[in-house]
Amino acid sequence: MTLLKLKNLSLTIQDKPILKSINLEIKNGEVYGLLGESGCGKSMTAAAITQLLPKFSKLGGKVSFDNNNFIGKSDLEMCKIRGNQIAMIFQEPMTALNPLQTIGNQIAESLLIHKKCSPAKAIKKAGEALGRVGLDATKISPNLYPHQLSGGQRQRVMIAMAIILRPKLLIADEPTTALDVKTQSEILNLLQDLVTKDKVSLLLITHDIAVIAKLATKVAIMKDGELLDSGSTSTVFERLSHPYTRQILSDSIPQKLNLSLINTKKLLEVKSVSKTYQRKFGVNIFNKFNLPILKNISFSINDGECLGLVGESGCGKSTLARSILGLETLESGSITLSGFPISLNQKTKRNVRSRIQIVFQDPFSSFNPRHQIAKIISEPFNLLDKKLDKKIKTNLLLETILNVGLTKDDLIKYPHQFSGGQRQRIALARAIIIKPKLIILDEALSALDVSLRNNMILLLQKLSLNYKLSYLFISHDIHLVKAITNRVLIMQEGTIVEFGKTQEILNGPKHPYTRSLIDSTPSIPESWFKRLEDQNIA
Amino acid sequence: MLSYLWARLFTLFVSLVLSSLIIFILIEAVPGDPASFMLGINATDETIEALRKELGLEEKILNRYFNWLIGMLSGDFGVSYTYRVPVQDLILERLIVSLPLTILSLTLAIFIAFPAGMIAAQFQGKKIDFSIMAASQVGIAIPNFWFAMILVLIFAIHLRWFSAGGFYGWDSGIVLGLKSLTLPAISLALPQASILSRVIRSSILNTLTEDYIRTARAKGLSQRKIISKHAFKNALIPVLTILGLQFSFLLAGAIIIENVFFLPGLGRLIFQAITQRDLIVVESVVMLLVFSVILVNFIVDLLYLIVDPRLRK
Amino acid sequence: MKNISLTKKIKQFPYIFWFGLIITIFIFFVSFISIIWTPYDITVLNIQDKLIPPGNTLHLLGTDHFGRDIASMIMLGAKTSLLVAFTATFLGIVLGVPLGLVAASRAGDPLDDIIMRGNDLIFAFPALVIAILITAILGPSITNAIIAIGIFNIPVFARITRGAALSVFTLDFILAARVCGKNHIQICIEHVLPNIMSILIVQSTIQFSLGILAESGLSYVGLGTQPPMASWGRMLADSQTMISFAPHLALAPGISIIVTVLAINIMGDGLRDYLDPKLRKKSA
Repeated sequence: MTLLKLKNLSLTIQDKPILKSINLEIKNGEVYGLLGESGCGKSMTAAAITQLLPKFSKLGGKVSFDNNNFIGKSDLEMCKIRGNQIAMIFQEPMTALNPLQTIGNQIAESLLIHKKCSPAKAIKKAGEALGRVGLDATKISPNLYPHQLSGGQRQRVMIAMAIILRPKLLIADEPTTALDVKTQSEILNLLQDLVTKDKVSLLLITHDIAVIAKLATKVAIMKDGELLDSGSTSTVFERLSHPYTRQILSDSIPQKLNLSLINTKKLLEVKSVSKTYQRKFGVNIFNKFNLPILKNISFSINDGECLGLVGESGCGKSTLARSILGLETLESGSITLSGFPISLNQKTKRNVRSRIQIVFQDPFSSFNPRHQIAKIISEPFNLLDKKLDKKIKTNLLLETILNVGLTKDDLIKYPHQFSGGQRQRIALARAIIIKPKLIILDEALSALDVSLRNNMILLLQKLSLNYKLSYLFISHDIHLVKAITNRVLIMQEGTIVEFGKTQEILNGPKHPYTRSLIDSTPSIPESWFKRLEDQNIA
Repeated sequence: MLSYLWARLFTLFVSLVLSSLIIFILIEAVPGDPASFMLGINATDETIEALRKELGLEEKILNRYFNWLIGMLSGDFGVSYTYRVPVQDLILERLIVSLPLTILSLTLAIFIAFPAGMIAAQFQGKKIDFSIMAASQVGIAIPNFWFAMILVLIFAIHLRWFSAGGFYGWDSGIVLGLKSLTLPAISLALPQASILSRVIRSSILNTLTEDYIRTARAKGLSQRKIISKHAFKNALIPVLTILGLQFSFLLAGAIIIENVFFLPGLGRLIFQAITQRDLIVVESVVMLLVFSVILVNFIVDLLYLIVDPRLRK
Repeated sequence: MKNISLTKKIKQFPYIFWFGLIITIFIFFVSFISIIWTPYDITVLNIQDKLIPPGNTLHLLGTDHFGRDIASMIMLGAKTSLLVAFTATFLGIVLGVPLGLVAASRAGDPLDDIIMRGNDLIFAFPALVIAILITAILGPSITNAIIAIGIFNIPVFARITRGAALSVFTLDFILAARVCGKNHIQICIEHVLPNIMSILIVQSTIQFSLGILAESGLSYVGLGTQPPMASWGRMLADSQTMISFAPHLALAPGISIIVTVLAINIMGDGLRDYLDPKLRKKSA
């Protein structure tokens, strides 16, 4: 039975084409994956189905749901369908719930608007819905407010809200992207369970092939507002009949980073570093509590190597990175670079600090939007003891910008004129211009689409050769870490639980935490790559 | 929650102590000393000496400050030099005019601003939104005392519906009393309502861009229900802040408006006291005004606690 | 090429902004003229020409009870208003913005708490109350009005600066600048200030128009500008007793205040819509 059918669906917003003649069919009880990179129009497809479109949108074609065409329906008519027959789950668990209402009330609200139901009964049903999404009623009461829950729990509340009326279609828009690996796998399992138990259809929108591989029986691949390839998931990825499908599959295998200059000389040494955060509570200056954030951390980075640092958000990765950069006061322990100490209270010498630079995750907030690229890239000159000659500076700027694959003209542009991938190149340019020894890559590849990732890795390899660089690669992505790093640190709640050769640790983890991290990371089936290899050989 | 409450109470206490200190020091800083200042240049040495004794200026400055504080806490604000009556009696007599005026205009402003702001938000970009915003823009630009004069010209002088000024006193009945406060309250409320309605509109529109509003839409709530059930309460938090800040404008406005209508309120009292150099009255009334601003902001802080569960940890 | 981008820029502002800007420029122009020339000398009384209604060929806006030319007084009043409002806004910026920046760069420190509590404390003293206190001690003068309004402006700018700067301080490029060894002062000047400038400019227009309203209020109750200096507020105070038979005395300064404040506010709104891309998106 066909539940949802999009026929020649097209969408323009302010006369700009967003979707071009989309055709797809979702049957009862199936998981349909919609795969594409950021900005390809996949979220807009969901918005078009539920008719929750921005102003000045124009729809064409047909959206038929249960043999009922949505296009041209009034907003009030759609209100009766939304939440009742079609429910949605969004990406941002932290902001998608109203902070001022209890989760019970928010879940019960769907019941109250769509069904005749007393408030008391609705709350009781909300409690049951919480149970169905795996939130223990004895621990998570419906009277709690969103800020009292973790990100994963909030996402479960979102799901409870969506399924309470047992809708026929569930649309999940990047439901796990903002979550940690372990929570991600739990949520995916939950969605899978609901689909089998309730016979609900799921439209799963994601950029991640591994998520599709785990859940979706059918898939459609989208690019620039068009569906390029669709069919049953295994057929699509094993046949690889469309070149774009082949491309995204091959892009999703991370490029190996070839480090030829590794030697055993220690570049950076971190010795039993500890730090507690004094967190202020409320507005009162007398109320403080101490939060241990780094507990007795010791490791070292060798010359020319790429060391991975893996851990979930909030485990202390970023604090450790800032400590290495000399931006944090340490309580105990020491950090030295080629034997010279780094720390805030000892007024680390500038020439020591100039040996370490960093590239951040978010390519959009990394640069002052009011500065030209030339000014942005030359900021590290500030760390040099003597002022450089203007001519030398210009030459260095030019050399650096060319080295990261941009052009001379880009120097006089502003950050907003560049795409995300180009911005990460600019960030790298800023990092290498004063020829440091170590670059910290703080989730530097995480915000990039897979198609850009491998080029960046090739660039990292080239730069490591040209500039004799070492990298500290901070990431939550096990696959990436496996491809890029030669040694890895696994961090959990401020302590290092495992440290050693990447291949040894990730192929045979000893610590239960490492094992659970690896197990919960969704991966792409080997069979899909086989065809890819065959084609490459042919 | 308790820590929030304690922190607020502590802030309230410190603000009161510091502001009283500021006022005390400023009054102490008058040229010469307060006694000779109050009596002017024609005073003889004996009268100055007598006043110095009366004011307790012979004592140490710190003692005087504490005596003043303790006096105020026990309801004794000192004796007015020109009126020769206890200051607290003077203030009380004037407060029964000023306080109803402030409350009346605040209520009026809220009752105009909330519907106006909410309608403008719901019909954003439509004609009605544009008209409300244009009207409020003009409302902000009109000085309230000028508006008061125009109201007098129209309703008192031409239409003769109200008297041009003065206060009947509550003894002659609540209706007459309220009648003499009507024009003052309207002229005070106009700029307040204008500012408030703009704040309410933009706060609701800001809230409407939040992710949880999208969630509510996906649940099938209509635009009207979204505003009343989700956007309104959340939009209230910044509105409360502005309301608290506006209170000081309202007080200042009331002082000026009382002058336009010759109302025997705190405003008249303080201006008379300034011309008569009655520093004791000035000091007390200013302390009272500052105290009420601080108190209102404290109340706003407590209201946050009711609205926002995140503070109730 | 340059011309095209300029017309494009002009078109990005709403029409109403240009309307406000032109009126504002006109008022500034008039007040500058009044320094060197006014139609009549307002210090000379001319009782036989008193209370001429507006529309007169010699006295466009009529005369007051002393026979002084209203148009000339309005011109001089504009100068007073703009002078007070400008100086008071300037005072607020010069003292408030650095305070806000220090508070934001030390967010979470006791210093931040102290600055912001101090701000709240000053905020508890409305401009009128400050003016009352100063006048009670020093007697009324235009300087008192400037000081009172200026002091009131300090916490306004400190608060808005801190709020805006805090959100800039969380961005990665601040951390990048610290990695490059920049100190707090360098970061504030190079990175934070340019990014909060638009908010400060808009707030300045708001405080400027509030300053004009406050000056007229203070002068009206006799705490601000003193004779023989002309002031719109004083003109209104003088006109009050004659409003039944000479309403033009109240209309001219009243409308001057409204038009000036309105023009500046409209300009500020247009500026905000242009400078704040977030708002621009919302209105689109």
